[in-house]
Amino acid sequence: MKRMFSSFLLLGLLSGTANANTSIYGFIEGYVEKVESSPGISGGTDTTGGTFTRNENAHEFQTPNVRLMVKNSKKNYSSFLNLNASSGNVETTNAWFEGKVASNLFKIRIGKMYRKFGLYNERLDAVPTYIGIEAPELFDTDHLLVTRTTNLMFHGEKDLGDGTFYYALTTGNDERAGSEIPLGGDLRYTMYGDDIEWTFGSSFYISGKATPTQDVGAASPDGGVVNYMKEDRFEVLGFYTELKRKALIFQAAYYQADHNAVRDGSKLSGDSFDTASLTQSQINRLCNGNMDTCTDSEANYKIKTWYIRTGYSFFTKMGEFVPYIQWDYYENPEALANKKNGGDNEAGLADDGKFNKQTVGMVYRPDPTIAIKIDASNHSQDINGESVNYAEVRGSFSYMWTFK
Amino acid sequence: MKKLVLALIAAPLLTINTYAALDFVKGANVKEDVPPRLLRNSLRKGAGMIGAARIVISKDAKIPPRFQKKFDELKLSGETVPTVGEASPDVIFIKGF
Repeated sequence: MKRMFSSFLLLGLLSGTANANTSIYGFIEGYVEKVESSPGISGGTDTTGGTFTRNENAHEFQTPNVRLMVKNSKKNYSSFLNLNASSGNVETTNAWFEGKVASNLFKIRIGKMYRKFGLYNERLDAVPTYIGIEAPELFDTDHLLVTRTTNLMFHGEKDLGDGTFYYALTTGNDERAGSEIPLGGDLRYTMYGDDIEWTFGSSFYISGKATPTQDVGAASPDGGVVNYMKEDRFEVLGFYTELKRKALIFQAAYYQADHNAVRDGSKLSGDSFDTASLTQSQINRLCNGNMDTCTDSEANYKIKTWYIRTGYSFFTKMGEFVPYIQWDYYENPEALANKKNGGDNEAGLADDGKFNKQTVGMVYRPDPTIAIKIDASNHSQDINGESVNYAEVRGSFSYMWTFK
Repeated sequence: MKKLVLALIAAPLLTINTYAALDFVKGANVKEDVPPRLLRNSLRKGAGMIGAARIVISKDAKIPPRFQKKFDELKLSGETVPTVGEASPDVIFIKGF
């Protein structure tokens, strides 16, 4: 009954604000994936690494996006609400208010927002519009480089001839330990022409003293600080480009994160920390060969990742077909396999923390509001001295709707 | 070989300064100066406003796929994009591309 009342209240609020400058829209995405028998590590103890296994995986259906978005804009102000009901509970993904201080040159956005950071962070909720199904590894929720959302953004743009220069500076709660001011930024220049749009840009992030957002045994971290760290100070720097030339789209990006962290010995020795999926080299690295007697230790490491994505649109009477290929690389020498430890089951399985992923796929848009995507990836990494590959097939159906 | 590489690099740049005509009407209450080139560039960027004036696209206009994708991408990212609607004195009304 309460839920029904809340729904009516929400609808009432929405209709109340639905004046000429208010748009209500959203999209729904259905998703299915089948992973070939995937590699894993199991049977590890406090002192002995686990052994290599293959795990069978059933195909899996998900509904990752059930989105309702409300955008209101006036002369110098705008607001945006982005709700996602995919998990059964309604999550506020974005809720922000923006004011123009000096036209488009200087704007202030406050609330909860995706930070401007490369080509994809703000774009990942625009599922029907981009090529590919999975986010670039840079934004894979298992191993994010930074938090996707933040709280305050100064941003703007300046037209320069046939192009526009964009800038953004962000700060917020992020993963800060106390009163630190984490600083993020993104600078880009886009050339616009009738048949071309070419973007070059760079993003950076300076965390200050940061602490984990998730406990060991809970879930993947919300940002760059791994669950078992006592503290971390890290910087991220990246470069990216995107070329849209007639029917061609090409994207490339490289990002690096430099971490200066301290592992928390008590968290590593605690009952919540899973040792079954550790390799011998990870046990040696984390706790000098015995997970039962861990002490605090320094962890200075670099994460490197890059991706290349390209696609080509064919317009036919049946709609638009966009075949695409992608190559992702990710390297994290600190990664562990178990996601609840703060790891991932890709780099965390590899002897050297490196993996490659090649993807081939197709987007079919019978209508601009509908995107049907199918793709297949090959993952490759070295595990226990062996080169191991496994495949994954995915399908995504998304439909974008507009109420007003 | 060098010429081929230079030609490949230069080819995308050759069209940057060109722009096609737009069929549009500036509403009587719109104070902003709206030269066609500015409007075209704003649409390329997916901007929903020029100054204080909203950009509205006619229901009968066929929006080129490239513009439509840009609008959808920005719209789902929370940005203000041109809307489809009716002409009014307060808007810049696009009748056709």
